[in-house]
Amino acid sequence: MSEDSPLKQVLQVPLLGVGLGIDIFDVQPDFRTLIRDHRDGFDFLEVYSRGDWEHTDDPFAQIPADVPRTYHHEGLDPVGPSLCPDGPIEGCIKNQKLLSPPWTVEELAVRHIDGRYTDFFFPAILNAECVKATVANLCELAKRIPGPLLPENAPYEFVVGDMHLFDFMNEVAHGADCGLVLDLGHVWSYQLCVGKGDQPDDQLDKLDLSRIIEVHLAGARIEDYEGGRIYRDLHGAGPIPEESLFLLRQLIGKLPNLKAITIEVEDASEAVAVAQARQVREIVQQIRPTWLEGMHVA
Amino acid sequence: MSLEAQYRALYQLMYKRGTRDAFEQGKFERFEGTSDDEAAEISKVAGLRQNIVVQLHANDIGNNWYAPRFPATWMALQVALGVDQAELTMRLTNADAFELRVNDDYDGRALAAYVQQLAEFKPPRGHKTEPPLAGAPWLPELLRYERMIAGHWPDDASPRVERFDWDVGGVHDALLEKELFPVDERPVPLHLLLHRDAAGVTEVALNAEQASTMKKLLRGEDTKGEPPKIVAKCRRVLNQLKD
Repeated sequence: MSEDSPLKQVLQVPLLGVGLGIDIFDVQPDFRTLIRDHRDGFDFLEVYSRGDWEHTDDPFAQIPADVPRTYHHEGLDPVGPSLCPDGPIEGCIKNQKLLSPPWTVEELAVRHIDGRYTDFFFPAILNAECVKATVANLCELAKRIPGPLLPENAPYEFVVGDMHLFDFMNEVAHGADCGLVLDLGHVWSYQLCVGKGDQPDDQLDKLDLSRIIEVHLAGARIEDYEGGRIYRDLHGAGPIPEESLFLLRQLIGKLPNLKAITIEVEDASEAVAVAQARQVREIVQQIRPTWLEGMHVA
Repeated sequence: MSLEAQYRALYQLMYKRGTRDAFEQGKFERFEGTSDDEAAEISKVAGLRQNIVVQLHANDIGNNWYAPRFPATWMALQVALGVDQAELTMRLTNADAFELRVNDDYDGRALAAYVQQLAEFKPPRGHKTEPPLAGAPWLPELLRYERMIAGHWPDDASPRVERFDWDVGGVHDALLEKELFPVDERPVPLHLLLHRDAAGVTEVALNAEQASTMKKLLRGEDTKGEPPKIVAKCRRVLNQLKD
């Protein structure tokens, strides 16, 4: 177990570049095909296993050692009222051992309420009480899980709480002394809930951008109804919304500690997956070419 | 102040229609365990946006949990109850049976409890309400069949003989292959030899006589009194399964 804080640990990691978020159980895209036929289309893989740790040995073993990877866990429920059961923690430790990622991503959400599984990530309740619980959970998890956790802002379809999302993220990151994953589609999902859908970058200056270690982008669908719009994650099964790309353009030059940009491509064909990575890489190349060069130096 | 109570309130608003409707109609002002401030925050959630989110998730649950795993049952329930998928899901999630699920109800135990509840429905005395499954009395058996061919068995005994009170194989095919909802079905028992291994579940249809002999063979009982041709055939089928 490292003596360094989770933030300090991730700051020591070399730049990873532009990667693809894949589900190891998906038939499409098949990560083996991506690795075999499209290796020049991504710099690393972010590996998601649906919170499973019992069936991961074989698929994880099929990721060659020379493919850099991060790990996306599920089930630690860091924003819950108390620490999650031992199972997901032990599972996270096991999967970390198998993958050796520089960090592990976990949504700022709960997947269980009173022990009952929910059909989606219930995002954090945005208030002081939830900040306190989240910081306590993340600090306890940091003691038990060897590799650092990077909490990610979850998608919002409606918002509960009197705190702004960016204040919540700042307080969590500072309280647990950790870095953050900023999912740009999820930022927009929040803005749609609070009536700022036409200004995806509203109040972005509140956010402590030095804490952003990784950025996520993904395909999405927007549900319109009389009076509003609702963001729905599609990952690879849809195009990346222009609003997410707008946020990327706004932010890419302002993230001093950015190490990785992940495009979550579950359900995409392999060709679409690498095309989305190319689309994102071109934006980075235009606005902050030195960042990509930094990766090659690293 | 309780974060736990706030999440519980959201759970109720998402999955428990009765509670959600009562809250929106002002039948109660706050969820148990929430403070004034929390109750005020939660009351902002309830409304049009949240109702649309509930509908979207109801369809997600149908599309992701039930339709791929128990397709015939899921389709038949919608026809039998005269509702669309979102409505069916909302009725299911509102039921106590939904709380029996393990994870995403991968083995269908919550759905089975809900179907059983529908099958056992008795209208209050003096009411002439038709039972919800009056037009589909085979539904509980159809779901038992779909759960078994998906490998969700009550115990590990394999191979095994199962008797279904209805020709659920025919009902299954009618619903999925011909897209026909079977009407006026009469109970015709279906006997199946089921075998489960890493590749999945294999089913072999048997007649009543074969089923009886097969059971004896599987239990290691004396089959001297059974017709030799049937015994031989049963042995052959068992050997093929093991190969």
